Amino acid sequence: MFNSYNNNASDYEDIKDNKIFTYFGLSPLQTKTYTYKFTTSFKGEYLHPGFRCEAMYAAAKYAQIKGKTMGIY
Amino acid sequence: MCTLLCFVLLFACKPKKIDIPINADLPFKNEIAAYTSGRISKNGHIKIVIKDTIPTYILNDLEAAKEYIKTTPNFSFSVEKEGEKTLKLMPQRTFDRGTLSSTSISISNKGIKMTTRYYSSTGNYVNPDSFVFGQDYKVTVSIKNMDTKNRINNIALSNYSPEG
Repeated sequence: MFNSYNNNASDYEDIKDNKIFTYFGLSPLQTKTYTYKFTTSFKGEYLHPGFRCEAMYAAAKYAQIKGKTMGIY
Repeated sequence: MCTLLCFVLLFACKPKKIDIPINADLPFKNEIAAYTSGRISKNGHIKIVIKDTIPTYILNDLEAAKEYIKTTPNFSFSVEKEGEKTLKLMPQRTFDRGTLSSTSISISNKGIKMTTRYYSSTGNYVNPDSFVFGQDYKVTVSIKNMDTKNRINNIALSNYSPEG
């Protein structure tokens, strides 16, 4: 459904039909930016579940962006 | 998580007496960092004053700060900062007189800061609420380690496509 390409290297990227999991590490105060390209192929209103980023072995470190309804008109 | 709620009444022209539901958030009173209510004029703005200093990553990227702000009813707005504790929201449409609106800020970051932005294929910023059919877009997700001393390994970023 969409492709991805990175501005910053990841350790591993798992690309499925409807989701992309990206795995990486961050040094202190380091920022990494990932860009995902997508095409609006079907009209309608859709629920985007949001983004979640989490240290897999340190669950206290995480960030999330809430989901929202998106319209394609 | 820093949560702030404020209620405002949006008026078009003349003042009108309306009961402000000051107890609307009573069950969550202990969780609210600030609370205000009032009436604003047609050309006014919504001012949010937060008890603690607003994180610099929000103050430095107000466009991204919109991700943290939810308004009811849902409306487009621009954001300006006023000092280190105050954000000004300027609605981009006019409301009917007496409209009751609530605004909340939810910063759900712990140790990691994440922001997203949506762009058209030509690189212009677009509102993620509405897209044009058949067009190419890009979403950038920026993740920052807010820790000044320790590296974070094995971070997983989940990005699901919208589904109806």
